[in-house]
Amino acid sequence: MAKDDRADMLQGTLDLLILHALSLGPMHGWGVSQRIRDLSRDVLQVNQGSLYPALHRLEYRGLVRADWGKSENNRRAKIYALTLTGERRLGVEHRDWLRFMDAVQRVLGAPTPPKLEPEGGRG
Amino acid sequence: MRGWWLRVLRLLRWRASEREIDEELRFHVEMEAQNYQRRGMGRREARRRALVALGGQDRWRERTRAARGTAWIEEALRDVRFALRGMARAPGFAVAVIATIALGVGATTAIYSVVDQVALSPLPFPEAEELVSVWVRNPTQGIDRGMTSWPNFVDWRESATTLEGIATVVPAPLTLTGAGEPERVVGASVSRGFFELIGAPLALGRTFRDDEVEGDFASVVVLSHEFFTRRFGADPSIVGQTIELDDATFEVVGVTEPGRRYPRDADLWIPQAFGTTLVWREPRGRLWLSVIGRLAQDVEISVAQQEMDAIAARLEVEYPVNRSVGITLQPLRETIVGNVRTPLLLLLGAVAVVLLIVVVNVANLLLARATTRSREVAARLALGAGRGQVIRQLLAHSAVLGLIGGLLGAALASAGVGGLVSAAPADLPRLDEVRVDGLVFGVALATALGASIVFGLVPALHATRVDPGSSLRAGARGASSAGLSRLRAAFVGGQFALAFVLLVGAGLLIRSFLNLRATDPGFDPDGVLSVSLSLPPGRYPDAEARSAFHGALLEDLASLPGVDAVGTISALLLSDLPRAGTVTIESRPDQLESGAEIPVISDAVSPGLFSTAGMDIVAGRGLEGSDGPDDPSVAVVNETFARVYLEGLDPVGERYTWGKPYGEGTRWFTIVGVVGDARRSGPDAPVRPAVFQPLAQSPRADVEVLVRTTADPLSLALGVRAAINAVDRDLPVSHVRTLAQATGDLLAQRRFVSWLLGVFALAAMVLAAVGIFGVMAYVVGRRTREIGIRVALGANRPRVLTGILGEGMLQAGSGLVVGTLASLALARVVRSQVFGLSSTDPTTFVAASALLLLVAALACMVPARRAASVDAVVALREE
Repeated sequence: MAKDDRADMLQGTLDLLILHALSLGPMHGWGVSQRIRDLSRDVLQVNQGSLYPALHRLEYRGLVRADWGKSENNRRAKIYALTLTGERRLGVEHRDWLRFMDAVQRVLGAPTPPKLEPEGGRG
Repeated sequence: MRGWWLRVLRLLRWRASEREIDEELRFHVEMEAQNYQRRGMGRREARRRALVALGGQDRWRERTRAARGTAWIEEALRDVRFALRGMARAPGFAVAVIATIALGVGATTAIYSVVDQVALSPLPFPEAEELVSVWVRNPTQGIDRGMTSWPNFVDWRESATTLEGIATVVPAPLTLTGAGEPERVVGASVSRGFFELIGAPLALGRTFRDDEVEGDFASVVVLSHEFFTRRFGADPSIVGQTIELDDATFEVVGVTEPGRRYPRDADLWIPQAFGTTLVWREPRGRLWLSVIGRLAQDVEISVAQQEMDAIAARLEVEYPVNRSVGITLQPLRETIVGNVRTPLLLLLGAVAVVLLIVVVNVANLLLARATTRSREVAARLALGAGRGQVIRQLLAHSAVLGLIGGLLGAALASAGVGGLVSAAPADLPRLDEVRVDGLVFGVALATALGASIVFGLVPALHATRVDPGSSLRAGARGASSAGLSRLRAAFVGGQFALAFVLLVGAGLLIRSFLNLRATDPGFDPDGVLSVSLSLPPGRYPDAEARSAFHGALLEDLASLPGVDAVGTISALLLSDLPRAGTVTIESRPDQLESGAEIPVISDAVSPGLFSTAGMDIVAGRGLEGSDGPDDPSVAVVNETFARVYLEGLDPVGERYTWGKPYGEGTRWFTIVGVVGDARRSGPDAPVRPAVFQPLAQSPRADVEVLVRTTADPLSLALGVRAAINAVDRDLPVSHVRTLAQATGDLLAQRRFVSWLLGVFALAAMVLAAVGIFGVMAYVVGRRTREIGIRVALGANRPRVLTGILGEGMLQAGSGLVVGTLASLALARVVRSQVFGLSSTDPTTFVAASALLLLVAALACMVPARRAASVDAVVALREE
């Protein structure tokens, strides 16, 4: 699980993780990847090839804001921060994710095929 | 919204944003390396690990860019760069496509602009579609569109309710005298309400008052804006001042708005005047007025025509002279452009055909190119390029070709319009208004772009259907499909069919032109200088004054060194409206009553005219110096006159008079000779009956002086001018030219059209040759291996050669069959333009076929010889 060239995480999941990481405070790209790694106790290692496109895409969609600022070691770095839209989106995605997990759980835990609610798919 | 804004912003800061991506990347690597260092790695090792962890940088960059929403523009720019590199690799192909498109767009736009302006655009008058010409027709006299008389005009004006206005316009050539160089100007005398009728508002001053028109001669004049600008420097104070016309003083009362000129190049207008007593004496049989009208609001021309028919029927009953006289309404635009419409539309058809050939050629070239590129495409697909990406790049390639070709075409079009205008005959109407038409250019450019993109798409789709594996094995050369090569063969056939149609058309027109030029005009234009002059009535009020001038001038000219003969005539080459009338033959007084007479052209000539112009006397004698003013009135008639009026009689000794004899005082002209027919309206126009009276007996004010010499006629121009001005210092001389040149000008329009069509046919032929060459070269290239095997198995080389040749000739030949059928079907269109041969002339058809087959054979020869020289060993090893 700790190898970089693992299959990419589902894109929606990556966006959710990034938004969550940024909700803890503005951070540069490398910091975001470290934060996700730390929070997942080294289980989730974000491939840089996915991270930056995702950050740029989120910026393009207006969910995050990017500004050039100073890093903790006083280097010029691009600092990403959550926008208001991004915070709202984080809430929606988080709820969808929980519902999705719940559904997957039920599938795996039930001996017979479960009855899925219409809105119970992936968010 | 925000997305778009970001996109635009980023596109503007494209370079900066590329730098930012790099900087972000560097920062990331640094942080990663520090991380490794903290875990106790050496600096360099940490950095290496960080870079490895990062993975392929290009892919990273690519995806980052893609996420930013400007990807498509960046990709397009890359595709264009890719296309330009591809063109540099195959410059011959690129040049062929670009040149084909440029030629097509340029020629189409230039010619369409001319045709559009001259034949298709409305006249420069408000509600110009309401303007009509009002003609007299007289089927029994073979008159289609003729002039009318003043009394008839007045009756029309009083009766017609479907016409909002109606006015007469009579050309009045005048000489501007007084201050500065005397100058011939184009004038027109007009009846009441003319300016209001055509809708030419005045920029300055006023139009004519009712009391100035149609009565006593009022010396007032309205200037056209063009003349006002050219001659008077657009100085508004000219209004109210006087100018001298034909030595009479006129007050300038107004200046029109620019561009509102009718007749076409009118410099000024004067009132139509008769003198209060004379207007009642205007005979109903004197046909000299041309009439224009404006349809009343919402009245169809057919409705107005019905009313005019009724009016004509009534006038026919009321006045015997109007027997079988009808009235014809014709849209004014048709009147102006009528005679050039057919040739111009013919040219337009030729343009369309050439454009079609261009499209087909571009298609074929792109098809060939895509097929040869299919291995390259296969390689790129195998290396992981997306199908969409490959298609996009091929499309970008054809779009770039189309765009460059289109831009060159625009340059060609604007140069072409200039060239056409200067090469065109001066009498092509409304030529001065021709501009490159933006809309037309847009359409042509869209066509070229569309063609190159659409036909770029077909091979692009075909190329991406290629299975990379099979195509990469060299044996499967480009996996062509049979359908595609059939399409290409059909295209070649189509090109030859179109080229054939054009060649036949051009051949027919050029041969007609040559036939016309070879027609004996009945006079000898070579070695003759012609100048025109007009005696102003102010200084030459009567016959004596004019006679004295003519006598002195002829004497002076005859004594000029180098002059072999001198003669004068009213005008040797006839304008559209020559001075003409009807005659009565003394021994056949009832002929006029039969209503079957044809107007006779009346000329006054000096004794030396016939020998100077090279017109032969076929019976009796010519005119002599002894036919003086006090001698009996005599005349020489032409052969057509003798045939029409004196059938069965000996013309010499017969007498005629103008109009009808009226008893004792009738002036009878005795015919003393018959002169050979001269084609004075051009070789394609019928000869009209004509009489030539001695200048001394009817001294005209307008004369054309002809001088025959064995030297270069133009070398006499200065001497002739000096001789004229020695007799009258203030007399302007106009139309100094050789008679050969003037005669040639009669065919100028025909020459222009035939020449253009010839150029088109040549272009079509070259394009067809390029087309068949491309296809055969491609076929040979693809079959090198097969040919190699056949040669290895003992096929002899001539057989290979003829095989390839035959294949090409089959394509060309089938095109010729289609072309022949099409030409036969289209023969009707050119019939009116063909002279002296049938519009399905077998010689022309055979010659065009032979020429195209020869060209096809030459074009196929190069690839065929290459096929025949295939080295079996090399061909087989190559696979």
